[in-house]
Amino acid sequence: MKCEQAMEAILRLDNGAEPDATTQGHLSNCPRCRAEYSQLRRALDGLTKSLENASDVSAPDDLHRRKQVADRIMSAVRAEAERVAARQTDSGSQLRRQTAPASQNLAGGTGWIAYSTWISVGVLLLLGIIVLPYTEGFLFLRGVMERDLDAPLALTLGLVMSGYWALFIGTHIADLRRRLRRLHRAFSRA
Amino acid sequence: MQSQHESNTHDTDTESPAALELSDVVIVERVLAGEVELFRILVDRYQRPVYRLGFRFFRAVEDVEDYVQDVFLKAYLRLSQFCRRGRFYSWLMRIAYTHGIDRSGRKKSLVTTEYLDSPDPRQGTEETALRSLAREELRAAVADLPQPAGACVDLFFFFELTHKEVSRIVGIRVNTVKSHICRAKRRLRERLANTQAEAYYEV
Ligand SMILES: [Zn+2]
Repeated sequence: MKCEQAMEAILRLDNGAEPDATTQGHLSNCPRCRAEYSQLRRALDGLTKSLENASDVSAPDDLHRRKQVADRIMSAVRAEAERVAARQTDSGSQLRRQTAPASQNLAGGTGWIAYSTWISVGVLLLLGIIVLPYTEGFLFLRGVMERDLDAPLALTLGLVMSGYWALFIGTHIADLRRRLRRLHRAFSRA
Repeated sequence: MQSQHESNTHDTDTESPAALELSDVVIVERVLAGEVELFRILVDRYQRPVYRLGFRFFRAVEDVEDYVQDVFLKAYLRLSQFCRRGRFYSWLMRIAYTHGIDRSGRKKSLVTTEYLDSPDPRQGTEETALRSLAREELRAAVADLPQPAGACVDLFFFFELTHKEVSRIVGIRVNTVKSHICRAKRRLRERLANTQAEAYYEV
């Protein structure tokens, strides 16, 4: 092995790694490379430690401040642990509430009417609204009233739809919030 | 020795010699099992490097302290995701690095000249002379390099992370990390050779 190769191998060494056997062999035979290697090592070993020991971050009250920060971290951690514990017992009692009366546990289990039911009724309502202006009854009504009914009709049906969705969100608020939070967490993790 | 049941009462237990000798992985497992107070040992063990990294992103001590608190709280919240095969330290540093970039709005750039240097207590020895030379040269290298090369050099030399760990933290390929670090080492080697020559002529 040539000096150049040996030095290249040494420069490519990872933190905490030792030279391989071939390089070691060269080092034991070549005083020049050996001296360079030991110099490099002495320069780099403990580089981090010297930074850690020197108060490289701030004032003399460094240690005191760090203890304070650690205290702050721990009280935040404790609060979080308590929150999680509370949520667990909370969801435990929610489960009990849900399982107690059989009627509350119909389908889906998220509320007293399943999501699928809510959504299919909503879709039917919407379909009805779209189709309504073309039904015979409506055309007849328009003929009798001799007025354009489109605007008041749209207003009424819009109100019906809004009311329907408001009712849906209102009865599912807790679950929706939970789902949103989960979604948010998934995104912030990614 | 204290029994495990007493571990919920804090302070005494986290500072006992037995607790201080626990490995990171054991601590993580026990914290996850409900011994929340043991998390303090991890905070004490790794607060320093997180603190130092914080100074790469923020100038004010208060900002850095907030940052340190956020990083450890984040680590606590994600503790169950810690994969036991790697070092806890490098996992924590990944959270710290990402959080620093998110929070400071700096895109993959570290301000390395920010943190203050205090004189080494054992000044005068050849060892310390070499080390401060290395520190100076590597800091200059970090400052000169574009990102993320500078961050690689910084994390490798000043935070003792391995090639693979740096690659995971910064999010670039291991071979790229290796070549950035190799270049910095070559630069340091040249500098060391030059100063040796100077010293030789002075004699
Ligand atoms: Zn040689």
